[in-house]
Amino acid sequence: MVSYVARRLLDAVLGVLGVTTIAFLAIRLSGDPVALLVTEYATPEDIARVRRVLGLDQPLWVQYGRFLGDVLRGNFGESLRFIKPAAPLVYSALPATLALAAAALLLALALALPLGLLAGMRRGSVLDGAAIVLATLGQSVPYFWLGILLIMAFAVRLQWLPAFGSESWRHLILPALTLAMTPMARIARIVRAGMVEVLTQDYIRTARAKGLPGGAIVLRHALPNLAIPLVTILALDFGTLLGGAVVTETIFAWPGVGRLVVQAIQSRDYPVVQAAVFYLATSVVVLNLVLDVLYARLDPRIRYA
Amino acid sequence: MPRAAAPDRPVRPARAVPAPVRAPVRTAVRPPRWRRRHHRVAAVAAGFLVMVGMAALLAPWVAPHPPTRQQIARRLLSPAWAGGRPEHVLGTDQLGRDIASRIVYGARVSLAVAVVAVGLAAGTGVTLGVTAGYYGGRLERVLTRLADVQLAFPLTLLVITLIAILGPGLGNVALAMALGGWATYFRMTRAQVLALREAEYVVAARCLGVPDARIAFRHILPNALSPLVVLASFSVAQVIILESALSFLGLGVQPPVPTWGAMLADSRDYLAVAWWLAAFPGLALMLTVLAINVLGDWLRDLLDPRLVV
Repeated sequence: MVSYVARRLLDAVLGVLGVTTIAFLAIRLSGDPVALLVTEYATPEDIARVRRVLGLDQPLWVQYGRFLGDVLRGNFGESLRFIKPAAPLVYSALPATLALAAAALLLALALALPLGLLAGMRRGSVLDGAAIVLATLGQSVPYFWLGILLIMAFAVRLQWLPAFGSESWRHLILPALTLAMTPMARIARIVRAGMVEVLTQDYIRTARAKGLPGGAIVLRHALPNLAIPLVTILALDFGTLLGGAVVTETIFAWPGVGRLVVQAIQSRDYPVVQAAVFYLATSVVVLNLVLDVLYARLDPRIRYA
Repeated sequence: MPRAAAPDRPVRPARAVPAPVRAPVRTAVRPPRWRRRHHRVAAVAAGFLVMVGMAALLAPWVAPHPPTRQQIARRLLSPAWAGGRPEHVLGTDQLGRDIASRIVYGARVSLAVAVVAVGLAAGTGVTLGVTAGYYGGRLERVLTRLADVQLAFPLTLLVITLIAILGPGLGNVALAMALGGWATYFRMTRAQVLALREAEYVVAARCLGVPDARIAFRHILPNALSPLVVLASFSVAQVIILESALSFLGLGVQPPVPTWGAMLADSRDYLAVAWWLAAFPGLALMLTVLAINVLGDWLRDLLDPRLVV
């Protein structure tokens, strides 16, 4: 178990290092950041001075070594756009993104779990057919289009909910709904398929044979066996949600890391891009690690060699 | 295959005719009605996709107007049936460009990116997967590790990071998605090949002196192909949505090339006055993705009947 966790930890560190390295190379390959910093009146000497101050005159591997050292200290340099340290900028935007992702995930679960369970229990019924159609539609609707439609309906026409900003919990509803659609469809499918599968097991027949009521069978015998695929899909979906948050935050002007990173890419604000990628990657990796270890708790059959 | 009786056919009384004896079905429950219709639904989806493909290929002949021609006098015209002009069926945008024409041209970008990205990702992933699965060794360990590490990250995030490096544009978007997507194909191919490597027909081929590469690609790969085809069909849908999301953010194919994502991005400023700017490109996108997903489901049922769905 310990060696398993150690190996996973190493993988996690490697993963974050890999993505951070990509982000480091990213901006240096994509164009000269100095060109964005100086005015058109800058002399070649000015440009050379800016390079020296930023350390861009050093060989790439020296820059990389320095960059890694800084990352370990949580220092990603100054944002070129805000003239402020990049790490706190990202850090302060992270809670908004996590709140949005968590709200979306909870919403998706709250909708998908009952839907999937009922559809799986009454396989072949009208309800089942409706659930499948709904899941297929949910998987196919582009979430950013859904976001626009929601704004059009609830903010522009009905004026029930605000479309932009983050002042209150009411601002969270539309973006969370937008972001929840894709995972909702996927979770509903997984729960339904899992339910269909579990209900054919011998132990369910035994439970039924000894006269347990249907509700107890579902809750105590079937549901616990769905926990593993469910946790797996939730972990996957959390990553997908962070990716989807980038787009959703831009639509709803939600002040999270996603919006920050899109703006930073557009203005080639590379310290912010690096910091954002680092923090997002780290949150995904840490979550995956926690879940992997959690499996052993959920399923006593899993033994880590 | 049991077929639902068509409504125009005379319905025979069910009890009068003895039911034909069928081979025992694996599942206890009869497939639901929608699934019995599945073949027909899949045919409709395929037909729709062929239509989209033809429109993309023949865009200059199909589109009623040049997609980038601006006519300021005709800006924000509503669709023809809602008070607009008959020559602009789906209306015009804020610069007076014809929406229908832009949607037709937008299909080109979506389909081109999808085909190139999925082709590259699948080609690389499958080739590496067969090689790694069949030969093993250090290459396999390195690639497996790389794929595992990469798969821990959400695709959208990875692709956006890569776009930040490579810069926007059609080729770069496809390349970024291929770089982000190869790992799934690699992992699945490798697992399949590992399972088939010791099969008897492979041993037989080896005994007959068939060269390794031929065994791997001609004997093993075709038998490992079904799940890969299903995976590819679903990832086409995923790539189309992702490409539109990138264009929506301004990180994809750049204007003036019309893309569905960019059209949706432009529509946001006119939500209160011109619903058609958002409605039609989004509908085109959704129907295309829906058709691909329906086909993917159908393929999965066809190729992998073990799955209980």
